[in-house]
Amino acid sequence: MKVSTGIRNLDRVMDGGFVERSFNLVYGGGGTGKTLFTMNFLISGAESGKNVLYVTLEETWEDITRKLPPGIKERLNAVSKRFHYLDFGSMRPVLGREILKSDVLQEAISSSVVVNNVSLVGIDGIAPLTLYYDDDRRIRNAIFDLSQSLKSYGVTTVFTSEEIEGRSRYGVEEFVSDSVIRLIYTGRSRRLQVLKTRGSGFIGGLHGFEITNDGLQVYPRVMFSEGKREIRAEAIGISKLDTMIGEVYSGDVILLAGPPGTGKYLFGVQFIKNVCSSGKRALFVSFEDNLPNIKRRLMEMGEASKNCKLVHLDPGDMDLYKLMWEIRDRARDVSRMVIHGINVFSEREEYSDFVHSLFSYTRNEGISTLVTYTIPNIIGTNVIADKHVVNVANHIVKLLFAEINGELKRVLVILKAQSPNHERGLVEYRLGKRGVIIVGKIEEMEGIMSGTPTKQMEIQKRVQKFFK
Amino acid sequence: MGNSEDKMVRVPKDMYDAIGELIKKYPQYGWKGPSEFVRDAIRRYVEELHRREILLKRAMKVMPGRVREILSKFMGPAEAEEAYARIMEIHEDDPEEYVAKVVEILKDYVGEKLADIIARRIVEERLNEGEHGD
Ligand SMILES: Nc1ncnc2c1ncn2[C@@H]1O[C@H](COP(=O)(O)OP(=O)(O)OP(=O)(O)O)[C@@H](O)[C@H]1O
Ligand SMILES: [Mg+2]
Repeated sequence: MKVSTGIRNLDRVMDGGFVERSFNLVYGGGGTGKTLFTMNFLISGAESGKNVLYVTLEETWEDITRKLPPGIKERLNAVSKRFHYLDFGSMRPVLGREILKSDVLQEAISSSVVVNNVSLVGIDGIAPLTLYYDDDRRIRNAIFDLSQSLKSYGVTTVFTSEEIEGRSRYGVEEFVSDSVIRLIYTGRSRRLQVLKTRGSGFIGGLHGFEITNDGLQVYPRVMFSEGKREIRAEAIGISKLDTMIGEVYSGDVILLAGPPGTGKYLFGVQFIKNVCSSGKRALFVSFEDNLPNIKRRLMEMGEASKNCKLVHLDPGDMDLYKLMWEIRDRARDVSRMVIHGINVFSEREEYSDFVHSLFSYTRNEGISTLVTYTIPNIIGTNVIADKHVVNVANHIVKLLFAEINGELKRVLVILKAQSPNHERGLVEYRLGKRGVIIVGKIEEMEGIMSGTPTKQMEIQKRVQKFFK
Repeated sequence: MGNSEDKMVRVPKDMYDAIGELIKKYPQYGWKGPSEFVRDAIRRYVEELHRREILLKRAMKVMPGRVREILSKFMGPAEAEEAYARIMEIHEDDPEEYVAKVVEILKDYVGEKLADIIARRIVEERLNEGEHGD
């Protein structure tokens, strides 16, 4: 039997949550959220009808409740009948350190457990135990005794400890714990890591972690899929381009890379337009502030239904783990999606996880996705995109400017496609009111990829070579 | 000095010797001999016992309220009120017995060991106050 951690996504990371009747360590540096984790665990339990007990050894109950985010405080007030506490923090100055002896603690906790029929316990801040126990062996024994006594009453416990130099304070807490969770705050983002679970699997690595007004959120670094994929052939929706690329299937990722001004978003608009017109839903996620343009373009193309959802997400400081879960939420019922301007995140630490997780999710769910990527150089570069998106893309189309006979033209080349028969030549296109218009192949130029072409028939070979 | 009603009390030899030393050491008290020293000591001790009894009685008086205060901080007002009401029901004049009964009630809420610590602490608070105050 599993007991919820109070955070749904963490339950999924931990194969259902904590083991029933287990003793679980949560550790982290100051302000990483240990107290709020414990409170959230207990409040959620109380909300599901359980009697719960919070034991604070360090801070006073008054301080803790005063600092609670308002939404969490409201939740606490709503379940106060089932929420019990023991405030050793405010008793220590009155009664002395004697109250931190493990048998005194154990008795006090078990009395409350029995009287109140408690099934979840949180013990916050074991540091004061050192006031009574001076060496590691004795602390370890004290914690072990406590864990055994709590287990014998059938309760599931979370206890917290400080992190010092990457380890829990005494380096002994882990040994007596059935599971270990570490909380991290880098100053920019919060992370949660499961280090151990006894008797079940878990998803390793650093997950996104967020403290909000109402509770805690975990954004696992991998996304779970309901796996309802059914493979069907699809059309991108730009005439001629479809024949040039060959087969595209539901769930495919199409990468469209090019410098500013090549009309990437217009490709995106066309990609979702037909789908929406045919009654299915599609999502356009833009990291640029250009939704009005997109909307106008859709209207110009005759698509005014509510099936196309447009969202602008401000890349700012947004954590990528949170972002991908937010996209997942919004993409729940869509069959097609555009991710516009993913390049803004390419320098982020969690970027590779983000790309990998997001696109395995869309693939598993059968959501065909067009990803646009802005390359900074306007002319003459061999850069396609970063290796992470390139690796997940099933199809890669590069857009570029080329000077041909004294005129700057927009050109595209298909660098990768699933079909062995895809077009390998360079193709001129134009941007019009009704979208992207494919003009035709440029037959006799070489050097277009560098932006200064010369006539040559051998370009096909070059492109192939370039891609390899 | 002596009186026909006076009774004899025995003390061991080393204690008797120690009394002699103390008389020499503290002439400012004006003890004229071992008998006067012993009479003075007994008077002081009886006073002390009496004072302790008053303080214990006073501790008994404040105990329900102080327990309520402590429990209210420690585990919230609901339990505190309940324990207070139960303690108010105790009818016991002997301070030792009274404290034992308080501990008996407290242990339902906080376990026997902590109950003992709390009761002891409340009595100690009174005794300390007595030493510094009065
Ligand atoms: N409403 C809120 N929204 C977002 N973050 C909040 C909110 N309220 C508090 N926080 C953050 O929660 C953190 C404090 O959480 P908590 O008290 O659980 O940490 P802790 O690990 O127990 O700290 P300590 O080591 O001091 O005991 C702080 O970093 C604070 O910025
Ligand atoms: Mg804390």
